[in-house]
Amino acid sequence: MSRPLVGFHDGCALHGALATVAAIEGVTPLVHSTPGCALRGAFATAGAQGFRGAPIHLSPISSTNLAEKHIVFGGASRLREQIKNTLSVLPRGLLVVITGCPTEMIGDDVPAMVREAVTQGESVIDVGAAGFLGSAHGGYERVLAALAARVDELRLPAAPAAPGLVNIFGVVPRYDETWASDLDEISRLLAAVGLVANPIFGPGGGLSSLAALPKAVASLVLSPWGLAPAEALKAKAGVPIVAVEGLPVGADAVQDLLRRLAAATSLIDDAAVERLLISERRFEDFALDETLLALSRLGRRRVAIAGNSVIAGPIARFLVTNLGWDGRALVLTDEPTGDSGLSAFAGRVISTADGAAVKAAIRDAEPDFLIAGARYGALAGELAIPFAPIADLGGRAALSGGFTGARGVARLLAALTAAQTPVVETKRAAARA
Amino acid sequence: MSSTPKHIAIYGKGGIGKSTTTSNISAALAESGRRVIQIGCDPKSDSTVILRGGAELPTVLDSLRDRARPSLEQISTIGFGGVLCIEAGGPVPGVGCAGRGIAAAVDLLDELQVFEKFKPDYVLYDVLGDVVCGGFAVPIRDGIAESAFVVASSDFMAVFAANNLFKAIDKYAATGGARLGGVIANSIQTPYARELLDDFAARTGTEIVGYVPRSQAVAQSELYGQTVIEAQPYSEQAEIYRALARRVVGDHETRLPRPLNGPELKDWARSWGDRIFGVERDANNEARL
Repeated sequence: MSRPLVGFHDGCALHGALATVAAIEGVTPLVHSTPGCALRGAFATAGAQGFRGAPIHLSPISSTNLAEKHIVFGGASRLREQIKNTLSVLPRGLLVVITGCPTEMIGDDVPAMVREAVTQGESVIDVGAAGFLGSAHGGYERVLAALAARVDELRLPAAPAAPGLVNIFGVVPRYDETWASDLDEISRLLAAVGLVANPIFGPGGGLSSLAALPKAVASLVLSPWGLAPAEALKAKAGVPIVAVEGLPVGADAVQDLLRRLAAATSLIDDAAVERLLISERRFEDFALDETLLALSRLGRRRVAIAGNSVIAGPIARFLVTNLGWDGRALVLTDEPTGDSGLSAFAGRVISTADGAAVKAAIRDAEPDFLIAGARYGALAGELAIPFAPIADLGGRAALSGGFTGARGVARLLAALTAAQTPVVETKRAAARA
Repeated sequence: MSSTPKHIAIYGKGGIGKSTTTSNISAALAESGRRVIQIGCDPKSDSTVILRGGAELPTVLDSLRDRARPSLEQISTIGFGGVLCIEAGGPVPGVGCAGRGIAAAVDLLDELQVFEKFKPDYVLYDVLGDVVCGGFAVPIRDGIAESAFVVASSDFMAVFAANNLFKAIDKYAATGGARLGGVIANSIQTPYARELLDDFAARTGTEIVGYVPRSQAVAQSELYGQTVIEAQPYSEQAEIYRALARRVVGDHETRLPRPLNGPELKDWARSWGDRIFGVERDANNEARL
């Protein structure tokens, strides 16, 4: 029997595509769909907590805002007009046309409109991202796969030579909430061993990072969502793929990642790797020492973890391997396909984006500690167990959160030792009365 | 006549003769003093062409292009015998969504209060055939047509389209949609055609409401942009259409058809293949002897 999704974790493919495009400086999204798509997409790009009720105006995202006549007679000419109008306001950079459900259903010839603009010397690409094609993470995958496969057609300014460039794939802007700080920390780690990260998004990315994609010495894939663009670049320019299971949480994971990168490229400075690992271990040991008393008070916990695969799996691995905790349940809220290989770190690995199913999985695991998005605080209160939020934290998490490397471990330990058992409001009110 | 008009949908695959049949039914009803609206639900917009002598008629959806609210006069014309001719219209082939177009046109006619203003006795919808998507099923959904007929020939694809309409009727009947009036057997010219359609009707629990033979009168009248009722009112073919019109609008038993599933339809067609070509083969063999 079907039932409605409650507290869905992921947006639709269009929202993911929109968040992805908007996070690359110099790249402008154009939504070819009905008005609600760009409008709702604008809420979604404000992050998981972005929705605050309906605004009284349309979003500032360029959109063809199709009316019924465009559905009946086709919306291609409306798109032609909107491409022209958008480019007249934002004349530089790259325009990415993202098609939504109605236009994919009626079969508008979007590639023809894009080709027309390209032959006029403009830099435009189209990505089919109808919401029904999948989740927001799937939208990220579609956008990056299209950009990687068609990078030569984009009329981008030539990228400067960058020896040791490594593309970073698999961290989805906004939807993987700590994306910016995680990409920043990965970039710092790679820089320490003589490599240059190409994070694509945020201050380290931008338009020039797209032109640089085929020139990289490797593509580092941090989640299954990054595999398609990496494969496109491998087929196109022979860029080798280094796939790891999520962000490297802790020094051991950093060591593993660098070992795999070193096997794929010859540019890594071994002495620098040693220096970095020593420094990472020292940092991690210091963090463990500082929190030792509080950690020992917590003891060995039966933990349930819910989050996107890029971060939840690595946290489970660290807690089980390094702290000796008992991983009871691991819920992957981005619903990755394929075998996660994480069953060694949790009694049950569940893949679901449905908030109600996440709650059920947490309850079934009978945990005595919960690590999940802030929205699950009430559940922890109900179960009367301590709770460490790792998502739904608002904008600051993108900038100063993140669990990558030894610094990420320090933030994780801080979250664990600061964890409190949420008080259930209704019970308190009842007690007072 | 009663104050509420009777809405009837006539389906059939492209080129089967639905528009000719529907227009002749409309003409026959008009001739007998009824007020009739015929609505073409096909992007080709040629349903009512032989009722209006080929005169230009802007379609309902043309008005959607300029987002203006048209008047009834702008999207209709009076054809033979006072039949109000309306064409839903739609996109050119290969773009947009014709199915949504039909839904939008039906909505617009409702907003314009066409039926309240014209006060017809009968409204005939001439709908393009295979019911390929939800839009083409709009006329048989709740609150629009109360009965649906399908025009079919002995051609397998016409039977296939009829079977698809049966599936759509079964789907929507539960929620107040149209019921099946029956099958109109068109272009009957070979001896087996009648038998084949009779057999299909029997298998699917429906009936043939009229047999329309292939006729030169139809072809001639169409060349002059007219229905047979108008061009050759005393012909035998005109009488056939009059009888059909009486049957279609008359009180008759409507039913829920039992469409054949994929393998059943294939087996049924194969058995008829064997019968028909077996007959031909035997005839050829006899001729050779």
